[in-house]
Amino acid sequence: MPVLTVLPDGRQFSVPAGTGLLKRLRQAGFYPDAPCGGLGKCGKCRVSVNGVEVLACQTAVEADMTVLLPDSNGFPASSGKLGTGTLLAFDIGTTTVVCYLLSDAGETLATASALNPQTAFGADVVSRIRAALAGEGSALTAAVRRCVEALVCSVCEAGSTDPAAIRRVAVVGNSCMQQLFLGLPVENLARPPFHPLLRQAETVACRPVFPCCPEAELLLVPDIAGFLGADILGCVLAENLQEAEELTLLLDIGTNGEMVLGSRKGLLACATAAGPALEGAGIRFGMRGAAGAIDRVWTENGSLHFHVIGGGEPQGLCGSGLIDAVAVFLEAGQINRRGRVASDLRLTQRIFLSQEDIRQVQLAKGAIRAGIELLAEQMGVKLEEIQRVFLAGAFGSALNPSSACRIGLIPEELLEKITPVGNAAGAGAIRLARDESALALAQTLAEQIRPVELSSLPGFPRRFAKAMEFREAKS
Amino acid sequence: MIDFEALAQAMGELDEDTVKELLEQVMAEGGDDAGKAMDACQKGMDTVGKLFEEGEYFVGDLIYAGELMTDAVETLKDALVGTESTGKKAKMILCTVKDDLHDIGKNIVRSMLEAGGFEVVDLGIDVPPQKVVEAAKDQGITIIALSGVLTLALDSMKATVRAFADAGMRDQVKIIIGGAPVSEDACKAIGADEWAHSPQKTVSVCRDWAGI
Repeated sequence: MPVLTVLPDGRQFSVPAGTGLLKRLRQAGFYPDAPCGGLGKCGKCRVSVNGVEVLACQTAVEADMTVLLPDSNGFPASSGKLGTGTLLAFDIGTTTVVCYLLSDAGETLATASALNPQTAFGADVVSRIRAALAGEGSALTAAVRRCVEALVCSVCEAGSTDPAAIRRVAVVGNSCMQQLFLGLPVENLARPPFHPLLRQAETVACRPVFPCCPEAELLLVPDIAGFLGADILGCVLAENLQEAEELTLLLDIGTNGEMVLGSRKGLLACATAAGPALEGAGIRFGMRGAAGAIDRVWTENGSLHFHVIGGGEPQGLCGSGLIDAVAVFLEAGQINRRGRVASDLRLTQRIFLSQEDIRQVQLAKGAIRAGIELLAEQMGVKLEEIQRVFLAGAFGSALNPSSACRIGLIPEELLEKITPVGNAAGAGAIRLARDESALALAQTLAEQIRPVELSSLPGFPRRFAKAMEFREAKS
Repeated sequence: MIDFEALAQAMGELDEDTVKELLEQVMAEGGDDAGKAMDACQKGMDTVGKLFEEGEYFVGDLIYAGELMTDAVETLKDALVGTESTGKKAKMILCTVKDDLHDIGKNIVRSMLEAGGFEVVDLGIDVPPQKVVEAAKDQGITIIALSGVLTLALDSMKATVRAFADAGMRDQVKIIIGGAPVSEDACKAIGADEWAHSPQKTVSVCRDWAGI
């Protein structure tokens, strides 16, 4: 049997000849980034085998092999201060898992976050569902639980807490993330009518899910609909939208674009199939918002400028940089109303946006914009009547609002009303962990928020088509 | 009488106001030219298809074109009954396969096929294999187009092709699969006759099969 040596940590495994490298790495607990789910399309699971760069998903282990992984493979980053915690809150995102350690009083003592290792199975929920249906369900569950355990250890260390002392854990995530975390099948998310599985707020024992907190109770937060999960519910809880006097639009632009519109008079929600393009996946030079990513682009006196996270040579563009770049190129007249470009749009000698990249941006922003317009229409309000726009999520917080409006992701008339609110889903999980009445409120909200199925609305196709267009520069 | 060239051009450029204005004029003049106006719209749709294949137009433009075409038929429909459009019509089946609810792509293809001279029997979305086979049998239709967006749709496409084989009808029908997940390999694995990513290819393959 061939032997696989994985660097930099030097572990060795024997592997039946012919096994796919990506699959074997995932089994061993290494999670190379693979946004397309191992289809050989995205070119991001690049590793070095015996000194040659290959795609892990397209490589079989036939003979002894030494693999060098790119660094930063899912080691949690944490920060904290001293104090003993008893509560944990999790936001399990499709891309990022965040963990908060809280004191009895609900004060945040430590936080840690890590890349969701399921990214090795694909960037979006659809590819995770596909992997689960193809028999990788328990591997997906194991991957996210390992990550969660590592984060628990990390925050407990930072907060000088014995994990056994944790008494309550609240978890939010989209339906797919929740179900995979709990080890439940995801068939309901693969086929219509996409009914949610978790309908009831519940308190169960933590031990079977992650044994490192044997004494804790685990709060199960219900989903609103198949593609409107506990994460968006968490956002509503965090911002108290059900009590808002002002008509508020809450946008969670993550890998899925989910949104809620309303006030204390009632709330509507929808999910849009935005895809991960706005986070940089499926974009030629796209990458996550990590060191080396261009995160801001602007012009000064007619010349192009950009900012690179961590300084140094730019490696690619993250979501906020991508949206800035599109806005800049639109303003320069290099993209027409229909999204056509005459040639590649260069940021540097090496990094550019292609026609296909612009198309991906159009699909994503069109889906979200159409969602905003149709929710307003369903509520019987005009866009300009919306009084507040909350941008949730890491991406929402990094986004430059004027660029988001310039490309038409958000209606331009709402520009002055935009406020980034950070990780609202995580804040919702925190509220659930520390506020005993919040779980019952979550149940009420899950029943009261009305899900709107966009594609079933007769006006959807035309709205979506129009929303994909750009406003051309005034010449 | 309206300028049919201008109508075809307005349709190709997706100039909704001009298309609407010209079609309303046709109806105001009694509707005798409705057939010719329809032909002009179809010519415009050909242009749209071509521009899409060239990369000038994108999905949104196709959706919009489909909407304009539907509106055009709606405006002209009273006058179209009775007048003859110049092309001859062939009948075919189109649907989105089981477990897939996406209809935007299918509807675009339908309007392009109709513009291309087909009478399209649209079975809708999430259509089980047996329903496709029955419709083909009952109406004696031999051209079948199966649409899908999800990867899972490939399984349903395969099941639909198999259902035709089980019914002993595989040799009598031509099947084309279309949508994002299809490919040459998928086409082979599914046992379909052809595959397409663009509506333009679907139209040209089906026209070939129908001999129109």
